[in-house]
Amino acid sequence: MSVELDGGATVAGLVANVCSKNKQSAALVDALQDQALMVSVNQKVTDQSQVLNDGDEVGFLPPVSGG
Amino acid sequence: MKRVLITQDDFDVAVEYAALCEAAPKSGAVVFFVGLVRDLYDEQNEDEKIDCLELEHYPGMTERLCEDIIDEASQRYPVMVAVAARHRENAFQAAQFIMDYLKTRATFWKKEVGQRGEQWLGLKDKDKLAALRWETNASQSTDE
Repeated sequence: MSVELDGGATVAGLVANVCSKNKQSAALVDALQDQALMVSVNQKVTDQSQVLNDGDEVGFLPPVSGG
Repeated sequence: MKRVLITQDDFDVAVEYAALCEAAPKSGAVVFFVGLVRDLYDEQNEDEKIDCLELEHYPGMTERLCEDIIDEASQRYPVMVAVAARHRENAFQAAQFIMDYLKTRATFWKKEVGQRGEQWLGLKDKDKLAALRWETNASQSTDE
C-alpha cells in the first residue's frame, strides 16, 4: 500500500490517514490500532513518533511467534 | 563466518555440518538445533487435528534481525560461529541464546492449519521467560 502524506508526517500520522480513508474496513482499522503492534521503518524497529521521509517502508508487526 | 538463510527448501544437516567444519576448522564442538512440527493429534479429539504449520516472515528484516542476534551471541561467546565453538559449553549456550532470541525478537509468525480452521499462534510465556534469563544472567564464556 502506498500513501501520500504531508512533509514531516509521523508513523502515527500515517496510521490516522490510513484509518480515516478505510473506515469501511473495520478489520484493517482494528489491526492498525492494536496496542500490541510493533512498528518498523525501513526494516528497523521504531515507534509511532518517528518522522517519515519520502519512500520510507513502514511495517506494522503483530507480536512474533516464530522459530 | 555468519550465514543466515531462510528457505522453503528442505535442508540436509550432514551438508551443513560439513560446511561448518570446513569454515571453522579450529572448533571443538558443533551444536545443531532442528525444530520439528510435533504431532499432537489425539484420536479422541478429531476436530483438534493439525494439518500443517505455516510460517510467515518479513523478508529482509528477518534476515537482518537474525544477523543482529548472531552478532550479540558472538559478543558473549567467543569463537562461536553459527554454533561451532572451541568448547561445548559455549556451543550449547550460544545455540540456546540464538533460539530464545529468535523466538521472541525475529519477525516470524506461526499459523496452525487444522480441522478447526486457521489460527495464528501467540508467543508462549515460557518462550518469553526463556529469553528474559539472558537479560539478567550475563553468562560467562569458556575459552580455556
